[in-house]
Amino acid sequence: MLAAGALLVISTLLIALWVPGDRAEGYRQRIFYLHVPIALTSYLFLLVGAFYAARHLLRRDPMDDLRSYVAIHQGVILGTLVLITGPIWARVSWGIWWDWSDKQLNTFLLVFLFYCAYFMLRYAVEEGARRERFSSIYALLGIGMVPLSLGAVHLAGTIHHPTVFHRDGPAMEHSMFFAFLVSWAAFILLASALWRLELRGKLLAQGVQRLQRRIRGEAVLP
Amino acid sequence: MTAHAVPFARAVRLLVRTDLTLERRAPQLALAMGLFAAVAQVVLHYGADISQPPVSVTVGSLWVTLLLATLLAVARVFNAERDEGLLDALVLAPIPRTAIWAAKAIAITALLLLMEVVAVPLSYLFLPADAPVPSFGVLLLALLAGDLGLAALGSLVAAVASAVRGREVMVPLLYLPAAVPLLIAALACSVHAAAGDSVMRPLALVLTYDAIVGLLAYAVCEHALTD
Repeated sequence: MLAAGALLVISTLLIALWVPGDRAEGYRQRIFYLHVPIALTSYLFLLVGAFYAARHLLRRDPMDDLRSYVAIHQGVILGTLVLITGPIWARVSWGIWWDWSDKQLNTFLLVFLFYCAYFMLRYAVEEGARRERFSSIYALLGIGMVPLSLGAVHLAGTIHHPTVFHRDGPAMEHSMFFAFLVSWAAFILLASALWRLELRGKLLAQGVQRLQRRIRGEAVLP
Repeated sequence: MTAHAVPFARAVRLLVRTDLTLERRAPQLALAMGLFAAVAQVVLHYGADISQPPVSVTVGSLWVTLLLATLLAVARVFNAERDEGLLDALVLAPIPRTAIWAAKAIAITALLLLMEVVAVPLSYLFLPADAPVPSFGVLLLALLAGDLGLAALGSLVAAVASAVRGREVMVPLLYLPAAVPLLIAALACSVHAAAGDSVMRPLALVLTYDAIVGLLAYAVCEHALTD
C-alpha cells in the first residue's frame, strides 16, 4: 500500500509538472494519464477475476471464488472511475458528455453493465457452493464479452477516440509514454493492494461469522 | 470423460422432442412470443413517432422485438423442470448434462423461428414503400445465425436464473447485457444488406459470437446444472 501511495504521488507530480502538454488539446489532455491507465487496470482485474473463476470451476476451492469476486469488485470500482473520467474528457475535447460512435467508451459501458449484473446474480443466490459456481460461470462468460463488445461497437461506430497505441508502438513522445507507464504501474499497485486488503477483510469477516456460530453452538465446518 | 448410458446426440434428441411435444400440446409460449412480437413492433413504431422511419429504425425494431421476446422463452424454458423437481431427475439420469443445455438451446431456437414467422412479415409490412429493404435471403441468414447465439446464451442464463431468487428479475439483467454485442452485429448485418454493402464483417461477428458463447456455455453448463 505504501509503495502504491508513493508511486501515485510520483505519477501525479510527473503528470502535473513534468510531462509536456499535448499540441492539440493542451493541459486538459493530461486526463489521459488517469483515464487510460485506470481503464487498462480495470480490464486487467476483470481478467484476473475470470482466471480465478475458471480455476474455481476446475478445483472447487472457495478461496478462488473469493479471489475472483474481489478482483471483479476492484475491476468494477475502477470501471466506475473510467465512466466518470471518460465523459469529462469527451466534454473538454468534443464538447459533449457522451458519444455513441466512440468505440472504446461504449465497449466499456457494455462490459461494465455486464459485470454490474454479476453482483446482482451473486446476491440473488444463498451463500455457499451454488453461489460460488454461478458467479464463476458468469465471470467466465464476461471475459468472452470483452472482444465481442469491442468488435460489435467497432462495427457500429466511427473512431473519434484518440488512438494512441498502434501496431508500430505508442504515438506519443518518450516522456509522455514514461509518465503513462508510471501512472499505469501506480494504479496496478494500488488496485493490487486494495485487492489484498479486501480479501483479508472478507476472510476476517468469515472467521468472525464462524466464531459467532460456534458461540451459538451451531455446527461449523473447518 | 465419463461414459453415459445414453449418448449425447440421443439424449438431446429425446429432450428436444419432449419440449416440442409439450409446446405442441399446449402452445402457450409460442403463442405468447408471437403475440408479443406483434405488439412490441406496434409499440416501437408509435414510440419512435416517425411517419417514414428509416430502414435502420424498422429493422432495429425487429431485432429489439426478437431480443425482448427471447426473454419470454428464457424465463420459462426451465420452469417445468425446476417447479416439478424434474431437473433433479434429469441431473441424476445417465445422460451428459451438456445435453440438457443443448436441448434447451435447440428448443429456444425452434420457438424463435416460430415467432419470426409472425415478426418478420410484420416488419416488412411496416417498411415505407420506397425504403431500401434488406434482401430476404440475407435477413434470413442473419436471423438464423442470431437465433443460435441468442439460444446458446439463453439456455445457459435460464439454467442459472431458474435456481436463484427473483428469477423473473434476474433473467433480463443477466441476459440483455450479454446479448447486446449480438444485437449490434445482427442489426449491422441487416442494415448493411439494405444499403447494398457487404455483410461479411457483421455476419462474421455474429458467427464469432455464436462460436465463443456456444463454446463457453458448453464448457460451463455442467456447473450450472449440478443441483
